[in-house]
Amino acid sequence: MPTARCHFSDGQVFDVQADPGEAFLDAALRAGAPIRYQCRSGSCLSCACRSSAEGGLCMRPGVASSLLPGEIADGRRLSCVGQLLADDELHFDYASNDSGPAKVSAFVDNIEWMADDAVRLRVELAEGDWLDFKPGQYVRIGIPGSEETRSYSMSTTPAALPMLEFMIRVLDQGVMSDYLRQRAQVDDVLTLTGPYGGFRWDGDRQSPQLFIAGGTGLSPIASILEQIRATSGRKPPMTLSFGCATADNLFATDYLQLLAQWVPSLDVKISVQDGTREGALSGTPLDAVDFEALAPDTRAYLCGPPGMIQAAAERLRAAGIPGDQIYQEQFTPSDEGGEGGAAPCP
Amino acid sequence: MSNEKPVRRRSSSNGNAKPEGPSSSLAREYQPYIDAEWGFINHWYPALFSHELEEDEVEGIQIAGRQIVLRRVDGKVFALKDQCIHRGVRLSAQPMCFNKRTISCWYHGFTYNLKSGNLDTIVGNPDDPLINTTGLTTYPVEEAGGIIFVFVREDDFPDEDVPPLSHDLPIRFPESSERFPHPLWPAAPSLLDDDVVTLGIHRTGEANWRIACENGFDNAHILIHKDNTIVQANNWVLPLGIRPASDDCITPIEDEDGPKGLMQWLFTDRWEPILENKELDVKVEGINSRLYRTSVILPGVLLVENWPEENIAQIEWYVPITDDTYEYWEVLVKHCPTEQDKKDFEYRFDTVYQPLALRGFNDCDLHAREAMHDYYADGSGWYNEQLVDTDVSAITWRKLASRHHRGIATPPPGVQGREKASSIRLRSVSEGRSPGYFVEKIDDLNNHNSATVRGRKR
Repeated sequence: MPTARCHFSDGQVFDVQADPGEAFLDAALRAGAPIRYQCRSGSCLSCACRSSAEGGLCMRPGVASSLLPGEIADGRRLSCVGQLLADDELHFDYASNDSGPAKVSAFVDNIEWMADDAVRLRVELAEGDWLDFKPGQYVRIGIPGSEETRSYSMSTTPAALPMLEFMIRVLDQGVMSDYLRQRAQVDDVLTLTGPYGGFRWDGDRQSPQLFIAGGTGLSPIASILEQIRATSGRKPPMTLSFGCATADNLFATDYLQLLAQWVPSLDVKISVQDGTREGALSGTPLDAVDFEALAPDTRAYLCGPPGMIQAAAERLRAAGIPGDQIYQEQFTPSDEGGEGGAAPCP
Repeated sequence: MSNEKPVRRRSSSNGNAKPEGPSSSLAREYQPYIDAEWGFINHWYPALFSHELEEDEVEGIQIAGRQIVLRRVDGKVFALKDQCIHRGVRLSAQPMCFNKRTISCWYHGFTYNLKSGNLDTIVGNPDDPLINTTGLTTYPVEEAGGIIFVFVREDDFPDEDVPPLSHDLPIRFPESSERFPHPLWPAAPSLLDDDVVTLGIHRTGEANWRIACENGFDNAHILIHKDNTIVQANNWVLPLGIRPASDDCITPIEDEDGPKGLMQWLFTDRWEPILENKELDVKVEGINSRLYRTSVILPGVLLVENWPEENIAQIEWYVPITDDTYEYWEVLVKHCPTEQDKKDFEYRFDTVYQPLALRGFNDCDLHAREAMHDYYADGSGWYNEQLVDTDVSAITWRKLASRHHRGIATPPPGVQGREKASSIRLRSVSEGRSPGYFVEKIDDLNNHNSATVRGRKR
């Protein structure tokens, strides 16, 4: 069987062996080559590519297609009504992985101080830029006036694109913290690279879902909760336990109360460790969870400081929740000087 | 780098893009309700009276921005998305059915299975690889009390999550009589009762569906009915207004496994009827009491118990068609155990209820809803309105609706009424047909001037 080497614009290459008697597209999809297609019958042009070898990928004789004779003479071919007669090199003018990391620009739309050490940053992608992501993922944000980047999880969902929001913890010192405290202004241009990270909702709508968020670890969890809220069909029973260190650190409580009002199957618990705040429990977000009472099929989503995640994971395992039902997003990677809203699991 | 491009703001960038979720500083307690301009989706809505769809007939309607085609085969009604996957044509504009299993698009012959929505074949292209790989969304159908109900859903709403019709209908009596006692009138009949007869009308109103819906149970709005013929002819005591007199004047209905909405304890000491305004020297002169009670259930169905006469209940829907039109359903339900009871009810419906109540009395509501629409049309009215104590009903409803709706309808591209000034819409209007609920059908393929809407020729 002849082989066609399929090149995509991002440099990815897929070798496809195809029987001359079959539609080349079928063989390519079988081999995992991410060729775009729609009609599979030679009319929509989605699966078009450029052939380099004379007599390689040929249009099936007698089959009508939307390619003009001049285009065919030029080497353009349609995968769906093409047959591979000899080895060929095929070029597709798009990337093999549309959801891979992209580097885009975004304008600052709003900087809101939610608490004495937490900012909600809203940005809008620049003209012509787009960034697809799954709720729970994060991007690296390049800080104006610096070569450095910091990682932050989106708190909004793709439905809000081109708008994105981040909940960001502001430290006494750090490139992002200094920027937000001293220089950040509406209309600043930030560079975003991403998305990254495998922290995401597993789509289970039957099992109870437990979300534990510490501080701005709420950001990816808010995104996931918004995703579930907009999901078609019955919502799973959910508990969110969110906590901050002190009453002055506490933020987003109005939003969370509204969310609990709008999603009848969501129970929200808010805690502060030091001090008191009306409507908030005293203690950590772990203290607010009755681990012994969790159903064995509970899915747990943890995001916050490493100590909190570790303790939560231990309590969950002790309560009989298998490790593959525990999803975590660890905070504060060491290479970001203690800043950063999210990072991949170590 | 040669491919360095200038970084610009998006040209479509606008400050009124509604930020989602945590960002929304405008978020009011009922923001989801404010967002539901095109209605709530994933709910049961009335589509047609049963008698409006005879055997083998095809009709096209639009609910919450979803175009829907209905066909009755062997008595059973099927509903599909009325938008061919190929080029978006409405199947109902020129119904083409070659057998009892399918409906075909009259343009290129894409043929869909009525039951599954599957693309079974293409008339002039039976070997196309697309066949059996795709199809149209189906909408579950139930027929009850002489009305065809359709579960209007998003394309990915799972079959197993479709709730029973009763979850989107008014609460029933006498099973709710203990919870909501009604010592002054008999138990209200329900559409789902055995020997019930339903008589009514539906027509298109020009207003947002929420404006229409809130009017139905607004206890201050009855002022507009002061001079209605049916009120004066019967010397009814219809108060100038009814104001809340207690913190338990409204009970939310939020049972896990049932309808969601609210009940108003009218004509109990929890509400105070106002019969006189001394300042203005206005007085209700009627002498015959006309007691009633209103409750409203998602996605917007009103039950008026004991109205317009004993042993009858009026049920209304304000079915969103677009963001500025709704199909106004008014039906009266009554138990008619015998054929004679039914005949008597029909006679009184034709001679009294329809002309004086559903039209005379409720026409007044159509006026009032239109009068409110423009204020809310651009969305600002929800933030600028000045509320008073009687608005507790509307606000409670908005909060409950925000909590218990099953989805907010967004207008999908390519439906009637999304583009307000398309050439076809303008032509229809100039020819005297208002934007409406029913599809415009091609009456005579050989005559371009032949569109009909429910038999009304152009």
